[in-house]
Amino acid sequence: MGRVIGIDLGTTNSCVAVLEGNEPVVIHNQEGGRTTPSMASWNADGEVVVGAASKRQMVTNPQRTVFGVKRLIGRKATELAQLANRLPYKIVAAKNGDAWVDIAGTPRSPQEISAHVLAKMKRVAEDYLGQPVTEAVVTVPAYFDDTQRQATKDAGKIAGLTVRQILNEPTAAALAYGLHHQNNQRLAVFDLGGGTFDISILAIENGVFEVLSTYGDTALGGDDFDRVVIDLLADEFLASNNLDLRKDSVALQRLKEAAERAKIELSSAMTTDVNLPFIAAGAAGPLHLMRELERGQLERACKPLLDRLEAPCHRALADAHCTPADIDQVLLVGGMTRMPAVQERAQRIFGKPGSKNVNPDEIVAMGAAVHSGIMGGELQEVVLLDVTPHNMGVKVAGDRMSVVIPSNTSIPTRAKKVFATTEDGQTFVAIEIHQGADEQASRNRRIGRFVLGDLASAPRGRTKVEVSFTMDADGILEVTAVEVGTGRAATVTIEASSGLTADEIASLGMRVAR
Amino acid sequence: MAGADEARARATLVEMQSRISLGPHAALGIGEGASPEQVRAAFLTLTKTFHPARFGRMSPDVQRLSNEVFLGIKGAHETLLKMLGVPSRASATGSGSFARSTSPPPERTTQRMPALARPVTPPFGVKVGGVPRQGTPPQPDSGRVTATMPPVSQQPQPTVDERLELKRALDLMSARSWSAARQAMTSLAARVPTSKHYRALLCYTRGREAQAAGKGEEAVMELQRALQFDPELGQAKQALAELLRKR
Repeated sequence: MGRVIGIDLGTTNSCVAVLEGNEPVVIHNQEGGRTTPSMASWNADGEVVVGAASKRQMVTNPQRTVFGVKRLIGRKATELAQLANRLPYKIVAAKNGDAWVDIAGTPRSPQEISAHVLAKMKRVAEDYLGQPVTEAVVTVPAYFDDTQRQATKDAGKIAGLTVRQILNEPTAAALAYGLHHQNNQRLAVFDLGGGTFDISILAIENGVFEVLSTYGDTALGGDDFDRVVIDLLADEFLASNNLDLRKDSVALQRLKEAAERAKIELSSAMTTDVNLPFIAAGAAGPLHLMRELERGQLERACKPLLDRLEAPCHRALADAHCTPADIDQVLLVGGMTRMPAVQERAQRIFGKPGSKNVNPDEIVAMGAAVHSGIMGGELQEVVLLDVTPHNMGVKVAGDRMSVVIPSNTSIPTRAKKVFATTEDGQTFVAIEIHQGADEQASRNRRIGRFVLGDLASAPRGRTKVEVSFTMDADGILEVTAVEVGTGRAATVTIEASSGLTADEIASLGMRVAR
Repeated sequence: MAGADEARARATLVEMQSRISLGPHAALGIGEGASPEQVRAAFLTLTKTFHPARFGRMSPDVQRLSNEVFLGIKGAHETLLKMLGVPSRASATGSGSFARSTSPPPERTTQRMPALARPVTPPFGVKVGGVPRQGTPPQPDSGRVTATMPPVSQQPQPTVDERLELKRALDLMSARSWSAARQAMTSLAARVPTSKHYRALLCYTRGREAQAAGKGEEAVMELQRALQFDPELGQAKQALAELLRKR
């Protein structure tokens, strides 16, 4: 059997690692980088450019250069209206309402765009290993829902990769860290990446990594911090020049680059210069944006974002029945944790500084490679017990959500509940399966529906149906309903759909993995 | 090679499944008086072998089987900890299981019925419910785990001398009462799961039982497994040789 590679498919950067002699090794890309920008551009002649080459032409080709596609994957266009206003490329709604990207008149799915990045990572690994690679462990934010996970799997398929496991990013980081720190302990993994925030609490016990709880925010990451800087600069510019730079895609792209650079520099320096000559043309000639930015200014502007880090951490601790004092080690993962204000916030929450001896950009890919070793049998002494991050339940009368598998249940798991009919002579029940935290079922995501018919006609409440949820270790849910007494049964496996059909995936695959 | 690995994995899983069917102690391979620490340690050791991720590159039916087996191991662990009065961990709590009214078919008028409280009784090893979340009052009827223990005859009886039991099993083998011998060996192997000799004899009796039932292939597989556990098991060598010669 061929090798299984580990890929961290990040919002901003991606990284690939492989297990070599039971050690995860990060593989350099063809340009010599250990991480690759998660970007793809379509040139005028239709050629697709990925990674650093794509990033270089971001300024000259902004409408056909896509970054941060992870924020779109598995989402509806209507959910992203706010984000769409601030992107230089155009988001359109596909027939089923999914958010796609319009590139020079051709709508393209986030799965296809991600597939280009995954295909690049696959080639990087193949060059290094000198053999074809067809299997991968791919990481996603722990708080991703079913649709987002399935969309990521489909992106892998388009890229010619069988995704053997979708692994949660904070869990992956813990695996990589714990491989060499296997003493029994409790870890908090604080993962603030380019687009998402995850917090996971784990216990390591005799080589078994058990996730106790996980929480997160799928819309909080480095991009949001960049946007704060962009707004700060653009608002000032608007006030003094009466011109909104955000309306011009080339200016916005330059502003975004400068904002990101300034943010990064302010992690080590106290002040930095933003220097954007000829950013726009005014009535009196060219306009320039030049100013000094201080760390304090950045931190004040970012305070609302920093505040949003707190609640998920406290909820994760409570769900794990832990206090900050029970946590032995705090792992800081994701490029954003280089920001001193983020480190301070993590320290304030957990009462101890974050671990310094992990590389926040690479540890997730290394963990994915470790997991490939668990699957392949190379690493016999380590194994992972993960949890499901979302409530799974059934819609009951009054549009209420009756939770069958609560969030943070260790998987695989099986749970049952008995339901009763609500009407006299009711001969069938429709079972609607929902995922999410809201008590009102319709506000959660509906992930499946089926009908159990031919029930014995009886007064209401007399006929009972036992509904059983089985979730496997990969998070795939199977739901069975049995009429108590007669044994009449119906089963459905919830095939999360990413919105692409098998045919679409296959034909995209022909194009991407050519 | 992949096929051979998979056949071995399947056999290991099937064997574990039969252990699970003997009750939580047999499932975890521990004695009746095991402490919570021993229960936990046994669970962690089995997790390393039987977690579905270990079978993640195999065919879908092996993956499915591995999920079932691991659910059984988890169930045994939770049942035993509960019997020992150890509160389950946050991650291991299931839902409460008060019955609720199902939503009526959409085309009918919605009429809410009072919720019915009814404990759910899953088969052994399946976890339903557990310790209520913090802040919620205990719900005596919710989430009851029904540990359907196997019949007493299959339970290891600490009072019975192990050697006597083995002698009885060997006598049954001499009498070619393969089913009875297999049952006796199953109970012995469950009582002393560390004994490779017992496991070898268990596989041997299973093999002979299969042979008697005319299931040649299954017999060969079981006898080969017997020899994996104990390469010096003369009866198994002889039986296997005869079987292979006949084919």
